[in-house]
Amino acid sequence: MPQKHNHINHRVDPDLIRRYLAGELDNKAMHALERQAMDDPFLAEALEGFENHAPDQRRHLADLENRLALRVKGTVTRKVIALQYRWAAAAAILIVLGVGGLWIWKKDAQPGGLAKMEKDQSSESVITDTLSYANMTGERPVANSTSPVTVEKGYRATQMADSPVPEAALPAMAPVMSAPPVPAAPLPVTAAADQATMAMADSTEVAEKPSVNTRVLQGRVKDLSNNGLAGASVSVEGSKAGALTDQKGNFAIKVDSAKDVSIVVAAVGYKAKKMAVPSRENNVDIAIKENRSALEEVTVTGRSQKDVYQAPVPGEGYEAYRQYLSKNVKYPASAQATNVRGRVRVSFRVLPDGTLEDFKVTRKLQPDCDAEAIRVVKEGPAWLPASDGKATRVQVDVPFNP
Amino acid sequence: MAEFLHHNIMKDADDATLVLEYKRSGKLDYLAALYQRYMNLVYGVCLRYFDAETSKDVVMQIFEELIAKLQQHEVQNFKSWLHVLTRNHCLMKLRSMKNRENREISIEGLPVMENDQFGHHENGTSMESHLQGMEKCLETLPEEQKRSVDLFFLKEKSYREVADITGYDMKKVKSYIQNGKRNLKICMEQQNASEA
Repeated sequence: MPQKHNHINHRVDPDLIRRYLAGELDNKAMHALERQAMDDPFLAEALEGFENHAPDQRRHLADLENRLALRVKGTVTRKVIALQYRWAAAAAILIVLGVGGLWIWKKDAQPGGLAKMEKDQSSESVITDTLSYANMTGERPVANSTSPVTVEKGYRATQMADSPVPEAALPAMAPVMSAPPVPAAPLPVTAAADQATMAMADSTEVAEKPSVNTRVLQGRVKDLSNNGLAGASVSVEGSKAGALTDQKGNFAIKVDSAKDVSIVVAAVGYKAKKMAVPSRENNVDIAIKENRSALEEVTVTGRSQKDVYQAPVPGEGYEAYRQYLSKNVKYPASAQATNVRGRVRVSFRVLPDGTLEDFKVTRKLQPDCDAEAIRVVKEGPAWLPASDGKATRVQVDVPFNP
Repeated sequence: MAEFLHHNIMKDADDATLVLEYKRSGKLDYLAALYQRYMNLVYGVCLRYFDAETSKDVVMQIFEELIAKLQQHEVQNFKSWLHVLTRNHCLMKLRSMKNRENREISIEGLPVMENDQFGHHENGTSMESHLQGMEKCLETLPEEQKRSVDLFFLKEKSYREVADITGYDMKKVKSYIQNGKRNLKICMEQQNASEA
């Protein structure tokens, strides 16, 4: 009896998988394994997993055998795992501190001369600010002559450099998050304009300079209740560009500035969403729906498609049946008099030949309505019997809403 | 002698026997012997979702889950059941990771597995037995699916060979074959239904 050695067929030699992935098998053996995977979703999924990794997983598998053996002997692996979590937490804290420190250091270091200037000017900036404001309004106060022009220029430059600089430090950590330097509003003072353009050019260079024909598309992925979704993948259709969202659901991707693109958003447990983004649009918010079935689909059933049970249905479908009901229900005079409205639930059996019998009212409304509900169902369209060929009880709600 | 017999059971008994032995005795040896048979598959499935190190931890966590769950559940087909347990475990873990941190895995092409696939753990001969009906149905398939299915199932070519012969991309070949197979199945079921 082959049944006895069934499991031998079910097991797949790890070495066979390794050789398959490494391309060491001949075509015939490859085909055999592929056929097996076709009938064995477990194997198919495992193969898919292996495919994205180095073909030789022998070291890891041996390690697993070891850990399993240790576990059986009574060495508590749980502790080991817990310990590893602790180490991981410690490592994470160190990394955060490290990156944070780096960031602060960079922030200090990068602006260089500009930052210094900012410091030097900080005491005067209040004055110059009022000055330039005064310039704008056109009233040149006498004080202007006491304040050297260079100071104002210098301050302008600092002001310009001010906004892009913190962003300039960012690309080192999270290129995905970096926004293109936002050009400041045009300066009203023409005297400072040249200086300003220069400062702007400088700061653009410090930040990642976008090439001429790309733009940064940024946005946020959220669920329907407006919570940002971390770790959602956002990809540009037809290209390799893509990004994962950060903790708050934000993302940024470089795309061709001239083209309309279409982006695809996917996250575990959510329905993937495709969205067209026209070339002028650089900011998108995308809400995606939860997909309960994706996570809950994993119930095993031993049934094939054709065994799927189909309950009795009205011959022309439920929609047509509802229309029939609403058209043919006669609102009883007694109910009209007392202004009764609501639903009557009628229960009946659909026999294998499609005929109906044994009518009962399982939710009453008013005696005349109840009787009318039974009449209308009894005289109504034919029903398709249940797929298993058995008489089956069905309930229908008959509305009385004049 | 007893040692030898014991060893023999671990190696040669079928899954159901080992499940029973484990339930009866509660000894981890039996469960481990059983788990060992599929550990590489469990690990492979984990690799779909996590890196190698995490996957190994998850494989061990699944074993811990098995220790408890197998005692509570009536398991008919251990392998299918383990597959589902594995996926559920991975998905739950992914879900909790999602809330905890920014993870670095690609979630593209995550399982769009159909339910009916779970029904076919027995090594199927279902396809071959309907060859004639199949040929008719084969004609109804789109060209790419038809060629791929024909080469794979009838000419017994491997994915790589099919890709070489047709010039289709390897990834596409796989989906052509899978979709083709599903379409064939639907077509043949309709045929059977109309004959009956």
